[in-house]
Amino acid sequence: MKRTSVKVLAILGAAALVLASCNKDEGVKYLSSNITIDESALDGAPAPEAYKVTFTSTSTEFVREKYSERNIVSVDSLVTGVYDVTVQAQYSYAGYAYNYIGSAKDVEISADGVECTVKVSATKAAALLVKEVFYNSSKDNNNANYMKDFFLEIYNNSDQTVYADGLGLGMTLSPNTYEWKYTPAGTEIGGKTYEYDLGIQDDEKYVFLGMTVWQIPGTGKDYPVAPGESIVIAGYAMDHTTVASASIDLSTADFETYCDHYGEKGQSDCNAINMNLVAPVSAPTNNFWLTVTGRGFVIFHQDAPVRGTDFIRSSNYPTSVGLEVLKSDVIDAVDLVATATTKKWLPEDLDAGKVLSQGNYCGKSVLRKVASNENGKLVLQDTNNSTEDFIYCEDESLEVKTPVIRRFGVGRPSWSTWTTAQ
Amino acid sequence: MSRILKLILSLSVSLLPLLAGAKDGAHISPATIRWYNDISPWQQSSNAAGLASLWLPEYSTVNLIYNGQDGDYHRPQEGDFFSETAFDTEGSLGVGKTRLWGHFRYSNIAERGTRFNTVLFNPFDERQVFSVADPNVSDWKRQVYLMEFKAARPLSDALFAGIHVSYADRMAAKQVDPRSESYRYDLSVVPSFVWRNLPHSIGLSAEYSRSFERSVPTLSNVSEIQDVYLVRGLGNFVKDIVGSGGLSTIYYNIDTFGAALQYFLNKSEWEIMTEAGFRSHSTSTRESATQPFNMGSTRMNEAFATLRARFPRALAYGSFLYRQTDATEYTSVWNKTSGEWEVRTSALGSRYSTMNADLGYDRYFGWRDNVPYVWKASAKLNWISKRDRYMLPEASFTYSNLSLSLLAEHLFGSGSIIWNVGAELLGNKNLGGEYNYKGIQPNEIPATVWYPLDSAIVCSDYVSAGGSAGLSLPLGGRFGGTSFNAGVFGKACFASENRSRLFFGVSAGLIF
Repeated sequence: MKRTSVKVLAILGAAALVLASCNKDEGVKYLSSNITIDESALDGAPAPEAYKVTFTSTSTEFVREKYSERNIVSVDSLVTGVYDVTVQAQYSYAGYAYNYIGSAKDVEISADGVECTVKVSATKAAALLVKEVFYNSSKDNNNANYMKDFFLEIYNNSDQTVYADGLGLGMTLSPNTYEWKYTPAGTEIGGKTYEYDLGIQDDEKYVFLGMTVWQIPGTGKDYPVAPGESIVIAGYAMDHTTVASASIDLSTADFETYCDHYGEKGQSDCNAINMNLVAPVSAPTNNFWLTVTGRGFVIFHQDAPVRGTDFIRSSNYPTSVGLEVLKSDVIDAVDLVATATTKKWLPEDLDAGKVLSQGNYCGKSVLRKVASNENGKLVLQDTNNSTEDFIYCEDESLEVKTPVIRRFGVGRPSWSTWTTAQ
Repeated sequence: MSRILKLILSLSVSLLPLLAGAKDGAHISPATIRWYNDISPWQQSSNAAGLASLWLPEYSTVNLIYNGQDGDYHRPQEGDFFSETAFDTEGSLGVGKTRLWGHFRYSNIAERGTRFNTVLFNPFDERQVFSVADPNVSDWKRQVYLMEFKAARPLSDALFAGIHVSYADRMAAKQVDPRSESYRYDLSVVPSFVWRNLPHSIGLSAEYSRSFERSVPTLSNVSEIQDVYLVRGLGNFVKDIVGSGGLSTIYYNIDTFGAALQYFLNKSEWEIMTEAGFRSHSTSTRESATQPFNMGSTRMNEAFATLRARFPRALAYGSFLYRQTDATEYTSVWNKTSGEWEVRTSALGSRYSTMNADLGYDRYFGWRDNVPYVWKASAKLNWISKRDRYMLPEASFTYSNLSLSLLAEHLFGSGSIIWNVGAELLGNKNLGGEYNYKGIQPNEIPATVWYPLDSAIVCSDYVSAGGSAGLSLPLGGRFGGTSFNAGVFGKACFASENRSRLFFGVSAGLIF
């Protein structure tokens, strides 16, 4: 009996030792990646003094940043995963401000020392910028979802007067660009047979807008915006605090997304100048609203009239249609997403980053950071990376921690004079 | 498929206890059945074949049970209030040379005040590391159908074969947005053999289990989109939403393989039973049926060993469990060409280790007709050590506890009624532990509220004291051989930081 028990205990002990010996986690360690920055596409723009290289995990909120003074940089402390890599810089030269941006998508980091080359391009800073967006709405006095108090503010960040006439506003459709690419009828993608009767061949040159596309009216010089002034586009240019005390007063907005259909549905035609609904891609709702879970918001200007019919079809599904806008016509774009792992709505060359939603119907806005404020001239940060450029309205640096139009005392255009909604 | 299986098993298992019964008309009390099960070496093992090698009583029980808990000493994913209403039936029967044992239980469980579990029937199942959580306080409602049977038969004088099959059908529903409906099915088959050469017996059992859980996140108020955490372990997560095209159905598939070896030595004055075995569980977790997204996988390995020694009026036992769960995280990228999520990288994300040891001693005093003992005194020592670790960036969750419970039970007769009263005292001493988070979301609720609170709970010292009382009354006349049983119990637990919890229950049923 004694010998048997000893044998049994020995077997158990051996089993425990085997298990304990399995308790290893070698191979779980931080990794590094070597990035080469390709400046061949700068097109004569001066090379900046340094680049910031950012690794953003596509599956978590894990982010690593490093500054490079040379064209090769090693980024360490990376966790195994797939990353979007952005390279960016800002540089002032001969009186012009330049933005540099480059990106590489889905870079797989599963071993130490993965090599990656990122080509950067340069653009002169835009004059008109999206300054503040209030898209996730608020609650009304009955604690119901209030879906009327959206606004988007556009600021003249330059030293010259620009004209808002013809400025377009739209929201992106699906980020899966393959849906919009020209493909012969009957092509099978992902198990579905698509019929791209109106597909487009060089889709990478375009951003596709859906739902509704609005345009500021005017003959070309009707709506000047001086340096340091902003224009406000409201979904409904009224004082919303009368029915939703936690909301905002938009009665002095400059433009309003109003159309006959919304009028029939009960929207008042306020003093704000009505935008033109140029592309009702999808059936309009009772009033225009920026989707509360986020989208890619795009302001653009194109020389030709915005096409109002014959939208690009993504497939044989009749409701999946969009309006193509050349990326070169895009003045500014901001990618607002629901979560860190939500796919980006916008391509990286329009916005290399993204801004996370702070929730729905919670009365929060996102706004662009102030780069400088000298002698009363506010200059907003514009690196074409909304992750870097935007903050939330409850940021500790702000005095007013709720959505507000013309924040920081920016000017209102001279032609915008009304003080009440009606 | 599951409905048919449930029906067949339900009928067969439910009828088994009704077929059984105390053939000699003796008055069997609940204490007697507990005693038989405690001292039966094979009933406590994972080897069903051994049941055919020993004599066991034939009986059937039918019970209605209510169990409740109330108080703030509970883990965050448990409710302030818990109630279970159950119908439970069990039976042991011999048909020729075949020994049958069956058990069926239906439970209706309600919990009030849970947090940080959006989709899982059992949020503490370490095989399901990748889950969904939200901070909203919510009720959960659960239903469980558990059916199991054991069958054992001698193949020769020396060789015995057996099988243990269990099937559980579980449903759960979270009651507050973001809510979910969870459907879980577990099927386990454990065939076994025993070779006997008196006084020695050697047994071998193998196990295959398959579990499947499908959880559907939903909203009652569809205009109120809800934020949730896609949990990766120890306070690490990715944000997602329920509603507006957010999180879709989540599927868990768990396969378990295992085996165990038993050795039984039967001497006239004492006997000893040892068992050692392992189980390996592999779990895959994915979201969406149409566009499957691999959320992660786990592999849990368990090794266990038990030792039970029975003497004429005493039982000594010990057990040891070592469990390690490795959770592998995947990074998937949407393949535009195939229209599918494609796994691009995988890495060990977190590891969960558990060691648990029990030592116990039961001593029986006295003996009377229909009563296996007059007094029972028990002492049990438990030690548990948890070492959970998130790899990069590092986070850890550890604790060790040592507890001692003392139990006394007295059986006494009053006429034909058998009464039992019991008292239990338990003390738990925390031997250390902490939650240490160095991840990328240090200011979010999982790292600031959930895990710190969980750590405080599992690292608490506590004492509990309680008592129980019951009676067993033989029914005469045409119900001869049948007894009516009823019992109540209550226990109060007092923990650190003025937390407490009350446990209580009542049951009534028949044994025949």
